[in-house]
Amino acid sequence: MKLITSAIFISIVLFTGCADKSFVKTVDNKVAKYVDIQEVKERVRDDGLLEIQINAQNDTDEYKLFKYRVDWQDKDGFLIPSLSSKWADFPAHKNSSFKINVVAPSPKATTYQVYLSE
Amino acid sequence: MKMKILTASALCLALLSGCADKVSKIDLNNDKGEQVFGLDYRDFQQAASDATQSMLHSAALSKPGGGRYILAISDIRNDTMQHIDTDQLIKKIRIELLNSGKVYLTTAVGSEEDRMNKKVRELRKDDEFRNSSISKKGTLVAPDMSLSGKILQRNINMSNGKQQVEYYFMLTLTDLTNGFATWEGETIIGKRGSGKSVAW
Repeated sequence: MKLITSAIFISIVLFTGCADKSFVKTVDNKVAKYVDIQEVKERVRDDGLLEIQINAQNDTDEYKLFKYRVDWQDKDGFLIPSLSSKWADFPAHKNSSFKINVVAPSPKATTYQVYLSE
Repeated sequence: MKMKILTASALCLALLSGCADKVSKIDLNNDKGEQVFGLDYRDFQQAASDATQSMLHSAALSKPGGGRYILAISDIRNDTMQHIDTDQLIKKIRIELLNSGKVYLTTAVGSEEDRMNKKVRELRKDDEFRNSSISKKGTLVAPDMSLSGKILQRNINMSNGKQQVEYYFMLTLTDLTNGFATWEGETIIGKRGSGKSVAW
């Protein structure tokens, strides 16, 4: 019985932890082949808005156009609707590094999930 | 005879219905539909997203000492050959800016004016309304900032018989205390296709 209670407790803790986590995820294998994510930077600006920057590299000999979108959440894990949650095109020039820079839609945004796709 | 006519009519109707093209709903979150020469919702979404991100990146909307600016929407001209409502662009920008906590949008003046602001004040003379429930004099707040702009279209006929259509979304944010343009943004959307197509 104790074991079950502990398992449930750990599951809840893990689940809650996952809900509030920020990450950058490539949801398409094709994109993963040419987008090499090297660093994800974030800062809270003086005006309270969270700003993120993804530093990445296209190591191939081809220019690529991919899409990205960002979901923003408040401290309680609730989604903040925003235009940046819609897919937007982004260019990756051949053999070049590139930076995706996005500002949160509201000072309430504390976490983000960035998705990259073809 | 009557029965034959009825059967023939029913058959014709069934055949006609069968031939009609099926209509499908657009998945706005993952639209893989072909591009069109004219402006569609994807173009407005891109232009609005670019503009708001650019505004938020700049310090133009950050009020020194905190708080919000009062923003009025000025003239947004449609200089394209299409019958579009510029609200398709502006509404998205308004929503995003309002949610950002940087501004309050006023509907007291400007192109988005809500006449009810004035009409409700005219009720002061009407005895049928409780006077204390009507907005007092001097309660409307004048805007600090104004957003203006235009959407421009250029059609170019190419030597290979194709056609290029360029759309320019140009926006300016003006500080109304001194008339300075504190932010300017431009998004260009270009489309290329058959010269036989019409871009309006």
